[in-house]
Amino acid sequence: MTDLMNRPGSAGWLRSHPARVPAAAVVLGLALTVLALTGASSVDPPVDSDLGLAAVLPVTYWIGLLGLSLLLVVVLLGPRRRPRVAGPLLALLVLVAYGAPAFVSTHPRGEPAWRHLGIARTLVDQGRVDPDVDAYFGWPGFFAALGTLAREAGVSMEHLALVAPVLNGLLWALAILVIARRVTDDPRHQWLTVWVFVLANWIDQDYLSPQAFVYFLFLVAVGLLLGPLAARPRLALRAAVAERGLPGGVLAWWVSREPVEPRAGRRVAALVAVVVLGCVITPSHQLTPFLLLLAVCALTVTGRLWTPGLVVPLTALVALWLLLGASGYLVNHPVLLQGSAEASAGANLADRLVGSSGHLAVVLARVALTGLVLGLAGLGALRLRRAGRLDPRLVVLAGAPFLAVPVQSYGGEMLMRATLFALPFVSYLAAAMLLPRPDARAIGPAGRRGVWALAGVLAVLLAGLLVVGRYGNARFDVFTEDEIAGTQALYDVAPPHADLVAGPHPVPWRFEAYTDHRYLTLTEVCDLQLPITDCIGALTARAYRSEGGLVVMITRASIESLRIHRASLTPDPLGYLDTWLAADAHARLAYANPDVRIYVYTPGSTP
Amino acid sequence: MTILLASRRRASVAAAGTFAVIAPPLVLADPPQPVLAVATLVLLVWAPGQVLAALLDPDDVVEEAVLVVAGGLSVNVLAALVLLYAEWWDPVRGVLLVSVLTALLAGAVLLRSRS
Repeated sequence: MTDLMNRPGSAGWLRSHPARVPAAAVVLGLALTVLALTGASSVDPPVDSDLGLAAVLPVTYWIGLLGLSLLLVVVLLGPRRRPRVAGPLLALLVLVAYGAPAFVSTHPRGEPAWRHLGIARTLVDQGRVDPDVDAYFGWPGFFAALGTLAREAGVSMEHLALVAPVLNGLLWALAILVIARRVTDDPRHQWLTVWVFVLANWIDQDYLSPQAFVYFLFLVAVGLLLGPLAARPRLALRAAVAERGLPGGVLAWWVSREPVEPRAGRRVAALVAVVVLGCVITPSHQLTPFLLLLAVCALTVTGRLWTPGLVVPLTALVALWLLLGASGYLVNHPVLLQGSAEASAGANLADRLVGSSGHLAVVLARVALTGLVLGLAGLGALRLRRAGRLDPRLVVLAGAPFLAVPVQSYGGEMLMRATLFALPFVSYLAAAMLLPRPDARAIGPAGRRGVWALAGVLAVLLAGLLVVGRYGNARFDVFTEDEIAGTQALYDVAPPHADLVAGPHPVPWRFEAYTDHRYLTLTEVCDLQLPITDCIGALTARAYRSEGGLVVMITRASIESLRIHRASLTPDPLGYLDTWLAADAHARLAYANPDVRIYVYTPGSTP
Repeated sequence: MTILLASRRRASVAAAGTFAVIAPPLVLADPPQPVLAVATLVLLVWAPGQVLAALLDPDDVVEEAVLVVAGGLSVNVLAALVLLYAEWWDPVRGVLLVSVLTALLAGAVLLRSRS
């Protein structure tokens, strides 16, 4: 037994060879990663559960994921803590947590990634920007670079889309580490911030997309705002107000700001860098420039930004782009001040709390994960404040994105997007709850064990909720080989310039021939809450009107999406539509496989 | 204005500028090879990013890596947008625009810098 304990790699051996702890942790991390990803690759689409991937991933995946999460807690908070090992372990955690779908399926998950491939291809094929195509062509920055880099380097965009969540996750993690280093010198707090972020980010916006790319740039810009461009008021606000009253005291406090960075050259370089980042963010995404502006305004008002004038070029950039670059789209699609706060709340919350029981469980897991991290952040902020170590910039940056929620529903996604933009700062505050208090020695070993126990429970809870929340739509957003083959066939059988109609989202289409067809979902053709016969009437009327013909594609993913989101709909509308189309003398079944059926109304075949 | 650069940063900027001068004929070879795909990404992302990151004098290697990637990708977005809006886009012009910009910027930084 003694021999066993002293074998290389065992606990006893590690106690007597502390220098080997980092290497042992990395080796264990690699073993857990291999275990998890081998488990994930044993799953084959389709995912047969309304709970998504969480219900079908084997126990080996869970051992790997939870083991990695716990290992990070041990190396950061354990008695022989080694914060430097956290970097490679966090990279492995990102690979396991964000890369699992790439081991389940060899095709990108979700519809938008496929659409984005088509937009990038269209831009470089046409060699120009046609802003009248759709909104994406009003904000083409990311797609222009994606198409250009892929074409110049000969890289497959589909492969890039498959690994994008891991690449983006790693870039975000690095940028958040830089932010954390701006506000704390404690390496445990820095790495725990990234750990909480990685495990709390169920929002799933890290696929190949403009928002994922500019979110990284946003984080880099915030890193500069908190670093070389940071300021601190010399006067205490309370004392200044007590002495001079309102508003004179506040003004004196604000004017007393002094730069944290002593080198003027570095401040100027950082200022130029943020403006350049603004020049890239603004033509790449509709929402992010406004959230960057909110962050700059919040830091300016609270006296934590050395260059309040930064808001001027950033505002000018947004205004110029809306007036020039995106004006073609905005003429018909007013984006700003869209809807009331009440409508926004409905679109962001109430409309999401519907569906099958499995889907509702997924939604509740997402709410629970967000609530858990927000709750921890609140407690963490209180703890930091009591210790006199609360950096108010983090609280301001965590709250600022939510100011946009009542103004713009953003298609019902604004609350999620605001949460994503607040998450790095929320994660920092939440991580403070996992660290022993500065006077931990006074509370004794029992108190320290309490902290480790809390961190251990959270490591398991966060990782579990992450997989349920993040991959809860896997039943319909992880596509089968037949669905991909069917969508390829769609382009083979569709007459030129035909209207293409598919069931509700998601559909893995538009990756080619983006501007050659008019793409519609069934929900855009008719209201599925009405009797399906009305819907069929609207569809056939469109088929008869369409000069290029009309193609209807019914996929497994659409059927599942409709069933999960609108469990109350009976009978199965897409099944009824399929039967009706099969019997329609004017429609021709042009392609069929177990997951896809394609019907074509060719021009001239209709009355 | 004099730019303060440590000797390691000067060497990085010089390497990025040199690569921007010598790499374009290689990466524009036809047909593209996998190794050239890597060289292209190094030329288009690392080289401009390295020059821009050096100007910001990052605190450590993590911050430098973040700035290199952000800077390199940003240059590519701006270059691609300029070429597309000018209706003058093609892959060769894209590579040449980024490499010329990188070489010019690296030269200017080195001329203005002292360690």
